[in-house]
Amino acid sequence: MQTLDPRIRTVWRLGAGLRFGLLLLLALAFDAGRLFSDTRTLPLGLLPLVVAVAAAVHLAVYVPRRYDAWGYALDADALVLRRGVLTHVETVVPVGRVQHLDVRQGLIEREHGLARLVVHTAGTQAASVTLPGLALADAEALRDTLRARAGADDL
Amino acid sequence: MTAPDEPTASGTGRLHEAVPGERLNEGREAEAHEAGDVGPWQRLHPLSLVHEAASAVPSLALLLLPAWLGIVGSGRVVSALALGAASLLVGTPLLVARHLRTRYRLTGTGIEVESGVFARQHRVLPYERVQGVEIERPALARLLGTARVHVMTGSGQGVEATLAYVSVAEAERMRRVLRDAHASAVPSAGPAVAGDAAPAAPVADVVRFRLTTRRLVQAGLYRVSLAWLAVAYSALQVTGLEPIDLVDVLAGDRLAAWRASAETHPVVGGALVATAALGLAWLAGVVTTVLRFAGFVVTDDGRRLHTSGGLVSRWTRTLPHGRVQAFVQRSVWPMRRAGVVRLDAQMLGTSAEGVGASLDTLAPLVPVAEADALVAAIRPLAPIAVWEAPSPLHRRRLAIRYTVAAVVLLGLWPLVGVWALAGVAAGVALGRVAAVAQARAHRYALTADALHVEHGAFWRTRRSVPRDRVQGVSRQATWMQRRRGLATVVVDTAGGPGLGLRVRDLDAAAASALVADVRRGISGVRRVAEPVAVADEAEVEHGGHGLAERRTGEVDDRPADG
Repeated sequence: MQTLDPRIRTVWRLGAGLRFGLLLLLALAFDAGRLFSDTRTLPLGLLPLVVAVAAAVHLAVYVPRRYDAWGYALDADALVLRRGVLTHVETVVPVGRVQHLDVRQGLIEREHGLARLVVHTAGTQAASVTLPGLALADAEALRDTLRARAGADDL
Repeated sequence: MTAPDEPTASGTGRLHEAVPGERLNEGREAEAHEAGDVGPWQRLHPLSLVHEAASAVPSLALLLLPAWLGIVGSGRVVSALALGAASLLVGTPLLVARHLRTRYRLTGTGIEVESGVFARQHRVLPYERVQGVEIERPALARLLGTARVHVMTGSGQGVEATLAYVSVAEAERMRRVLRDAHASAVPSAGPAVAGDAAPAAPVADVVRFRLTTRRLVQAGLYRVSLAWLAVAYSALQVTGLEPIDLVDVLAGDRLAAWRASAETHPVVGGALVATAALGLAWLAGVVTTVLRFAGFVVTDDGRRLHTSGGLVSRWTRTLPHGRVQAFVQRSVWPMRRAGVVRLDAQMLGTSAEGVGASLDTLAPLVPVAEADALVAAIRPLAPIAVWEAPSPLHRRRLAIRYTVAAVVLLGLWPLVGVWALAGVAAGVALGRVAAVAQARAHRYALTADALHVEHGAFWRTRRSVPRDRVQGVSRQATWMQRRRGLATVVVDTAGGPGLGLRVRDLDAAAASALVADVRRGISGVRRVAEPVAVADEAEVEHGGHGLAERRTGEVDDRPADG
């Protein structure tokens, strides 16, 4: 099993940080709106505090765990992906079942030189599986290898 | 499967070659119509105008209803008539123009359809992409002797053609031509499984299954349709009728005593309503089944199955052998007592309703042995020698889940004191019984060529997927499962959401072994047996490619510039 590029942790943290920041803003706005209200069921500052704690736990605990849980391997006959912190999932995509391959980059990923490999099959449960956190060159190399193996089967 | 992002030169070239712009302005061509020649342009049946008009009536009526009501209410009959005449005046030329501007022909390479009054659409479906031809005859069509032809490409919406309507003879001729043309366009496209069918020689249709009237009614009796119940109750809502008032309407005073007791005792009332609802649902099940499956028959031309049925509107479906992804046998408990099941085939991409998959009925009601024979005729599978059970812990996990659910449900009922205790006890007992039954019903079997998974104590489902149809396999373990050393194996198949096979709560080691075994089975099989490749083998020849590209390459849908 190979691990993901360590830089993906930063990407995940930035993405999650943005989302939590937005939530925090909403919570603060909510509190600001009732700053002078007499009938408050929730004490002031509780909601932002909850959001802040959740964000801290997510960034400090969940992200590293998620990184540790991720692994992938390209065997002779299949691409194996392993992931999941609470629910462990190991998916086997036989090379011969690959319909279509995508290499994608988000904005933050591009800043860090990372990419995602999206593997499409004709299946419905896992019509596409995404392997995040690969260096762009690695993602393209993996795509080309998979493509070559999928094609070689035809001959 | 070559590079997904390379356009297939041969595929697109063929399409352009088939659609030169000048051809649109050409007049009628030679009458001779043999394979390889270009057939004459043909119009739809003149009576399709009647169909068009008939189908326009409801929407027109709805559109003009306010105006009509207003005018008629004020007693100005002349204005009402004028309005009707005006809509006829506007509508008729449109209908006629549409009829005149729609034409089709069968050429050496495919079927071409042109349509559209203002924006012209020119559509070419190459023969090798044609997956099936559906002939549909709704009530009006049967009255007029016409039929609707639906040419399916197996690629979902937008890349199919519907000709509404042509004469029955023409529909059958088209089906024959398309079938033969497809066979010669895809010479090697014999089903991967059928060694019995010589590829080139046309095989006479064999009747695989015919539903007798007795079985038709039985099938209806086993199918309780709750959907119609919802319709009935929402109708009551809209009309503002109370179910209990209906009693008076329908039966007058004779049921007055029942009515009185129902009103005073909520339990009796509830029981009566439940009984009535169940009876209605049952009746609805029979009616819908008879409507859909009257005269149901499955024929086999060696490469495709053709199913048809229907009481009022006759429908036909074409199911290529190579597109069958899995078999599904379903039954309710009384059906198993009688030794019958319902057999469906999970199909990839032939559905007229859209992209992806469908469950197509192969037999609404069939004795188990006949169901097995039917499956064997389409795709011979090794017999199941041993069924394996999940871990005994599966039952315990279910028991906990069901007990919690039962107690919560009962908790909604405000019970106090001893009754509360009794309620909890009942919940625990119910949960336990349900768990035992459900766990016992869950089993799986991995044979040399297929995986079979069965579940459901009352409503039972068995899915059988040939190993070469498996798209992928996952092993999942939630936090709770890991604590008990369990895992769930999910086997992915092509077609239909939620139709994957799931073997729950296996021992971790057994789960890993199952994954490894299934995986070995897939890679051992050559790709030709892959579902998509089998159905469009022509594509493999000139460099088959991904589903997504395939869609765009298939049909030329640009407006014609003629």
